[in-house]
Amino acid sequence: MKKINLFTIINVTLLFLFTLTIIYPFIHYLAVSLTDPSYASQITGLTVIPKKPTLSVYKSLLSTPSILKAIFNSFFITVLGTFLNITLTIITAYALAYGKFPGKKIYTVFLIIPMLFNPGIIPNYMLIKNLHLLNTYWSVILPGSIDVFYLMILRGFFMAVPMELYEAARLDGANHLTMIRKITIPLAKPGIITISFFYAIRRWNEYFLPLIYISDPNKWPLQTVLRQLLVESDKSAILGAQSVISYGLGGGTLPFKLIEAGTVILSVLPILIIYPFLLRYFKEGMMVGSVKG
Amino acid sequence: MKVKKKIYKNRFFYYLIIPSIIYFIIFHYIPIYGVRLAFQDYRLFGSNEWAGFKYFKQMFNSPYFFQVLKNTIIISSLKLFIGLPVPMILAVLINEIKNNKFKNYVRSVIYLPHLLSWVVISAIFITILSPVDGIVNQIISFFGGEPIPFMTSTKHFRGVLVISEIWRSAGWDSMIYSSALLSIDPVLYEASKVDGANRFQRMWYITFPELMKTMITLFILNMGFFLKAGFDQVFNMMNDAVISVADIIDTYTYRVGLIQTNFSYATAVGLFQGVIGIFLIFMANKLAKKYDAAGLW
Repeated sequence: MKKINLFTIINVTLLFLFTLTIIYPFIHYLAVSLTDPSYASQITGLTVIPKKPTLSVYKSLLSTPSILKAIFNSFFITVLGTFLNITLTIITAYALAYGKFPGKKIYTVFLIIPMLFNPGIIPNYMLIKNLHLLNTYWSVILPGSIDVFYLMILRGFFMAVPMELYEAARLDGANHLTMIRKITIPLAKPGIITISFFYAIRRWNEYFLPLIYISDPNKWPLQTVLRQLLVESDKSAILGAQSVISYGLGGGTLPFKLIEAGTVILSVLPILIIYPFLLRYFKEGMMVGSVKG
Repeated sequence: MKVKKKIYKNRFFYYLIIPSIIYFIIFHYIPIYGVRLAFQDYRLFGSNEWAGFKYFKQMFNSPYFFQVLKNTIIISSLKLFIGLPVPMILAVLINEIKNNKFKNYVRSVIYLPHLLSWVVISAIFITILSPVDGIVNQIISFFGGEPIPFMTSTKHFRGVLVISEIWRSAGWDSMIYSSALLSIDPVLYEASKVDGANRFQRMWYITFPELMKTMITLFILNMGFFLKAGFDQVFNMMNDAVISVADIIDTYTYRVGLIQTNFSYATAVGLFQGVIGIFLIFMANKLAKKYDAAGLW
């Protein structure tokens, strides 16, 4: 008995430490971002409780035009992009799940070839350039409109819908569009919601396409701005000539550490908010979808 | 005639796939056709001129290209071999927890890192590994060690890549093993209990061999993406101090192509990577099939 208890203790400790490494950074960033700017010098890597908590960092960030614009851009790209993803994936998955049309095999091969061969970064760049999409939101939104992997997952969900429902609807004189709206979408809802989450998270996290296709920082989403702030330490491009954000009435300078923490929290907040919902859908979702054909 | 009728009858399905056909032609097939740039000299105005294998010769004559290829292979191998068993072990450890509350807590935390962008993960690692006040170095100092500049040390940087990759994906990848665990026949455990096997013997002789099947399949499939050593990760974590050990093919083509605007050469490097990639995927697929059919385990 004693040996088993020891194993349990070690096991629980290990797993707890692992979850701690995931939770800790968020608590740390949150604490740093809530610290009063005048106490910034007392922040260490071990900070988990803010000194003299205040929202002044968020107030300053949310009144900085470039950050506000970035938040707007992120939402714009995410909403429009995910809508495009979902619409295209639903109609394509419907055709793949129920259609028995001539040429379906060739069409499937047509979808799979791009998964096998990646032409690399330059031909993609040349395409966007030749389409005159450089420096537009479309350069970020249009690529990645359909993910074949998600398409196959959704097709699996569609195929799990009982065929009798379609037969009955057909007898009642329903056309395909009605069936998609009244049968497919309601019954495959968990699957649709699951892949919508995945598409939306991917859209929200996109930092690279804006970086290479959009030269105007005013059109960058939050992730690209964050990257320039942290990795490039390119503060002036983001925050204007002074490369500082002032706070409060006195116009003191906001320490970079606090700007960083605040921006990280802002850029993960939507993901943290939808995460619990995703977990719920996901458990039923992935299991059904992974029994693909 | 019969085919025509069939096409007409199914016309709605064709309407449905037309948008995807247009999308794939423009955003996937045109770039595939665009790799011919690797055999051309790029001209800003007018049409490009054919250059034959000039850029491939340049590539194979460049010692730096081989350095980058070597980095890619080393980083990929480290991730593949060290990272592979972690999700499996994690799934088994979670499975061994008896307390449901703690089990649910662990399960609802470990998927999160997979949903974060590498920009955020990179920020997190730079912060916690900071030699000045990062928590890791504060712990090292507490135990009397010297602070280590992980992110800027050529000795440690690849380790950071492996650890951060595991941190990000171990939880997510453990899911597939968790569902494999569910499919193990409980009769096996009952029988072994009757035979007097203890908890560890059951794990060792039943659970692990069953999960090995999943692991080997995943290993083979990952082989197909061997030359993809993780662009987003390296791109966001790399800095000038560690570029000699961190620069991989993808970051190299990005820099040579888009920063130095050496378009043709970067396309050639990308094409080389793509062709090896196809070859690896087909090999991996063949291996996976062979392994499944032969039933090694």
